[in-house]
Amino acid sequence: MRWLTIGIKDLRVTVRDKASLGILIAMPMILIVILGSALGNMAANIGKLPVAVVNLDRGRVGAQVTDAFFSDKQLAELFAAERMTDPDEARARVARGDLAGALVVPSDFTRRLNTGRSSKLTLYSDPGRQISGIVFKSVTEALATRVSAASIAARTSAFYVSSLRVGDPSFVYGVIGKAVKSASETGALSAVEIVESTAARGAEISTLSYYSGAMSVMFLMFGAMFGAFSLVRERDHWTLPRMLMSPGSTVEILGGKMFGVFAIGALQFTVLCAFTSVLGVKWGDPFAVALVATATVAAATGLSVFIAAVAKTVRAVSGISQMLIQFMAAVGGSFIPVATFPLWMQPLHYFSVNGWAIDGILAAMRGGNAIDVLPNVGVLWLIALVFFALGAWRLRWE
Amino acid sequence: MTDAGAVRPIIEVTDLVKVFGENVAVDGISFDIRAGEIFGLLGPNGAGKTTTISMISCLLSPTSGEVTVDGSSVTRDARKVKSSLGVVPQEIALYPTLTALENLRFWGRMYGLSGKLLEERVAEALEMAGLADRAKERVETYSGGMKRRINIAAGILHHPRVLLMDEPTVGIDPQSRNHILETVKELNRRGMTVLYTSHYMEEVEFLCDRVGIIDHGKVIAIGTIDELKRLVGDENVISVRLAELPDGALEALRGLPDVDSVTSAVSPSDGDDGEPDDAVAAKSDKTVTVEVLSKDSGTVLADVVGVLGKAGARILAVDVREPNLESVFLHLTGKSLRD
Repeated sequence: MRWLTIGIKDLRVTVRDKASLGILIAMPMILIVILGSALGNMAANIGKLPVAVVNLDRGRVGAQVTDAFFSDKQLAELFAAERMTDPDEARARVARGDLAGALVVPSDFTRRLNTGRSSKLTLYSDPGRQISGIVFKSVTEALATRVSAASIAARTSAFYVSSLRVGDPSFVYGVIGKAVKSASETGALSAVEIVESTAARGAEISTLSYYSGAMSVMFLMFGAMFGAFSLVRERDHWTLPRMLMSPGSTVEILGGKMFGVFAIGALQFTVLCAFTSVLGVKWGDPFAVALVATATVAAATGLSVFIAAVAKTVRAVSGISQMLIQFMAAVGGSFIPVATFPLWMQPLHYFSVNGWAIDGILAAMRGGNAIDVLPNVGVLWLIALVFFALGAWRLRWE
Repeated sequence: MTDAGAVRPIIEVTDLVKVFGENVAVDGISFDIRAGEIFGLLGPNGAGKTTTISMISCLLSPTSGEVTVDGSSVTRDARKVKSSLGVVPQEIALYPTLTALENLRFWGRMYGLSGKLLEERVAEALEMAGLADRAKERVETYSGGMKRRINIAAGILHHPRVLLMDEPTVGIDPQSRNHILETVKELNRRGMTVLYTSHYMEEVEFLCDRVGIIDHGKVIAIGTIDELKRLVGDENVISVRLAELPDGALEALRGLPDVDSVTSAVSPSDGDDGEPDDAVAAKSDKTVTVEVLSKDSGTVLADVVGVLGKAGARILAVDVREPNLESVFLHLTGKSLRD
């Protein structure tokens, strides 16, 4: 059990170091309170709203509705729309918080409208983004009204032209206008009904909640930096070579060092979680949060071995770590939410531990369960393994 | 002390080589250490002592050659070798924010000790270090000498058969140095074999049954201290302490008849490694010791004093002594141990 001895020793050394404790525990607490209080509820409501449109209809009307999100200049400025083909996937992405909403056009949409029957557009929205949901819904309603009016107009003109053989266009236009006005007054313009569906199942995520997750993740990365510091410092101060001269194997020793980093990260996350819960943050399903937190700490641990392998001195650890932490925090949404980034920048968050971890935590905060966070957990463990393998391969022991 | 000829070797080093890039740190050395003896490895800084110890203790893999400890190969049976060795590194390999007690418990556990046995061994090691009453203080609050003593204590917790000590007295006060030297003697009396590396010839002379002299990665002489001194023959050492070293004085001394070799070193103060650089000595308050090796010290002494006086040197002390390990090293390499 040498690994346990080493891990407990590292935990003890860290707890004795007031400066480290200040950075790992006190700093994130302060930043969570400051950012959560100062930025109000702006975090989730900045920039273009990411939405998806799913057109299952092969007819002309369905295409007109969905095309509007791309061809209409005003809508294009308001929404960052993408076309999808699978309604379930669209719903899942809204549930994960990747999208503010999704619109699904049914397969019989054109046919039903052309035959004078009503049809339904399905709208998925994220209750965590209430303002976004209202905007998306009102825009969709406007589109539905336009489609209904057009449908009535088309049927009216077709009737006069084909059945009554009326050839005077001004007469036809007058009749169409009266028909649309009448339909509007009687509610018949509701030929297209909006069926709203809640994709996400949780409460709105406040800025305080957002930064509780975002800052916890960022400071877990600082924990990784301290882990790398510890490895390099032990190498420089000859405690690591001394361990290697004891009967313990390199696997036990590296395992112990990693266990130490992991234990410190777990302690750090637990303390921050408890602190923010007292402030009213709802982290969601404890099991889902624990899965994401464990995977995030594992990724930070793997990262610590990688940094220790790349950096030859404590100073180099500091430089490399700061660069990595700041890059990952910036693109991963620790400073400002990814949804507020320009569209071209948003995919960058997939290249950071922070991005995957914050996504996972937000999914849990929105009410997601363990299954909902599994993709994030899987990616984080993969990152952990890759960094660890690279680090263990290149690590200089003496 | 043991009868060296009758005891089997516990460590055997054969044609050991270690190369770092283009630097040959250890260049085909061979020696053995017999069970129960204190074996000294004497050489200047950078001679290859630490690299040799690192290979014996399985920290570094040899480039070629073989080391066995009690019959087990360091390359093929490292775990067994490590279990029978205690290592005291030159660096103070301790955790400064932990107490001495916590440090010793940690290192004891690393050697597989636990429970009551661990506590007994920790108490014993603290007693031997003379720090039982300060065991619960953080190591960072200790003096350099106290840290060195705990550094040694951490290496003997598991009662190793062989203790490897790499320059264990560097940078400490005379009192702690004496304590450490007496501790090494005591451990040896209890049956522990010791490999002791140093560039302080006084320590090696005081402690060791046999000595290997190492320079530039090669063992250039090996034997008991008397055997090594006989290598110098009937040469004596004329040692002159000067306030400063005038320019050209060394060259003038080397030109004297019957002078075999001349070296100089800044006289080390307590806890100082000594500085070999003449320029440094000339600029500092420290004194310079010039050593002249000669078979005819009676005649040469007057010439040496004359040359130095003529060069403008202020002579503080003159001493003529029998050969020691310093003069052996001087004789073999033409330079001082501190060069």
